Amino acid sequence: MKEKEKRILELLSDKALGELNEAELAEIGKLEEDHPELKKIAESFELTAAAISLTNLEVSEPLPLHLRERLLKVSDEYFTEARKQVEEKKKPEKKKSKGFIFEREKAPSPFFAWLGWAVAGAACIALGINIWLTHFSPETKKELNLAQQREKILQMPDAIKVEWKHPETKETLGDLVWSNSAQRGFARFYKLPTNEPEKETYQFWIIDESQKSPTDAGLFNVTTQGEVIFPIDTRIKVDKPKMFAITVEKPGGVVIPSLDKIVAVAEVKTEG
Amino acid sequence: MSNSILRRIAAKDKSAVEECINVYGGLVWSLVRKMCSNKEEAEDVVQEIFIDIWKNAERFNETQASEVTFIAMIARRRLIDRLRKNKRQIPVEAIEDLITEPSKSFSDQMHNSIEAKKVLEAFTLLRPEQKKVLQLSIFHGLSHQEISDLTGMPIGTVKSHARRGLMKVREILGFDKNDDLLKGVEE
Repeated sequence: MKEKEKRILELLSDKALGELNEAELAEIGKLEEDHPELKKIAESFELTAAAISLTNLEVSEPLPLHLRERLLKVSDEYFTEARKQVEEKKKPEKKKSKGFIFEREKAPSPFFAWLGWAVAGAACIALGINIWLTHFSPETKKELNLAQQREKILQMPDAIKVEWKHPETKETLGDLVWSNSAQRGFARFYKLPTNEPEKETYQFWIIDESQKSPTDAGLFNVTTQGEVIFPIDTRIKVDKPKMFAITVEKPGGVVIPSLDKIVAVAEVKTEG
Repeated sequence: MSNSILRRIAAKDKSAVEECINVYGGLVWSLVRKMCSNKEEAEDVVQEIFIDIWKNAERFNETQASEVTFIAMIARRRLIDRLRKNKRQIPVEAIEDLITEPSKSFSDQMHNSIEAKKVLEAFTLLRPEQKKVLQLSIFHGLSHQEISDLTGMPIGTVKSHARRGLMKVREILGFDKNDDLLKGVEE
């Protein structure tokens, strides 16, 4: 067996047993990204570990009744939302913008097209408010730290999770979770350099296919080493995020991103 | 093609969700309770696992593994993620209490798992050290370092036993059918 094959099998075995450190997770993540077929092999290791776990399991205690009720309630919310999204997908797709991420779109849409989108936008905002009230109301938010809030977003039916990469070296710097229905996301970094807030700041941008220019998604500073999590909020509704980016800007932020100062990008892969 | 619970969930059949909770609720709860001593935390994890199950239902391939094994895999993924974040907080007991033979009394649904039966057969073919390491890792959620500390085996030996044991069981289960794909992953 070749060395690389052996190394991959070791990594996949360790992954199934929960033994990978952050560097190894990044290594296998990169391999799976470059070779999606590896995911099947990775799953075969996980299924093996799962099958082993079943041989020693005694189901002596049933699921508590109150937890069963809670799951049924959550499933109602989940499937209602999932069905709405399926319906949304069935609707005719909005005209796509051209490829380049910072390219501007052409002339404004006709009034009726605008009206249609305004109605759809209002519906989405109403849906967003509903989800916000049920999952992320200020009362809920107070009780949850950023990591827990991130987990909640991750559980949303439309949640996406992508990696932050250095634009040139392609090194993985962290990950991003985003939910369009919640209009909220979280960036988690474990390798973003610290900055001096009085001299510069990091700024989030969302490249949305439906917007003419990148959308400002907030400022943040990294003042400690290690894992850090930041919320991503935007005042403009994000419709179809194609890419997220981070630039280094002057304190207080800017309106137009400095393209020569992009320090991380997270690309959203579209299906099909 | 059978109309499994997961296939029906993937097709957004709401009745299948309740069936899924009825059939697999106890299994998921038991898996979680082995790794989470805090009951409230365990309830949150069970909720997360069921959402993962619903999200991943369409990925279930019955020609690859049984439904119960697939569900246990989803549960383990979430538990491993949780353990990593919490820096593993499983109380380590005496090794004599941890080394146990696979249970003969697991429920009917697991008896129906072809994989579980094959694992029991496979365990008889493993070296005793491989079996011990896998049991400590998978049954009790101990890290390789904890197993090394507990058994006195060097960490490298623990890793080696775990990997070889897991690969052997995987081979016996016939889960290694896609390994040819590895040949395409070259420098």
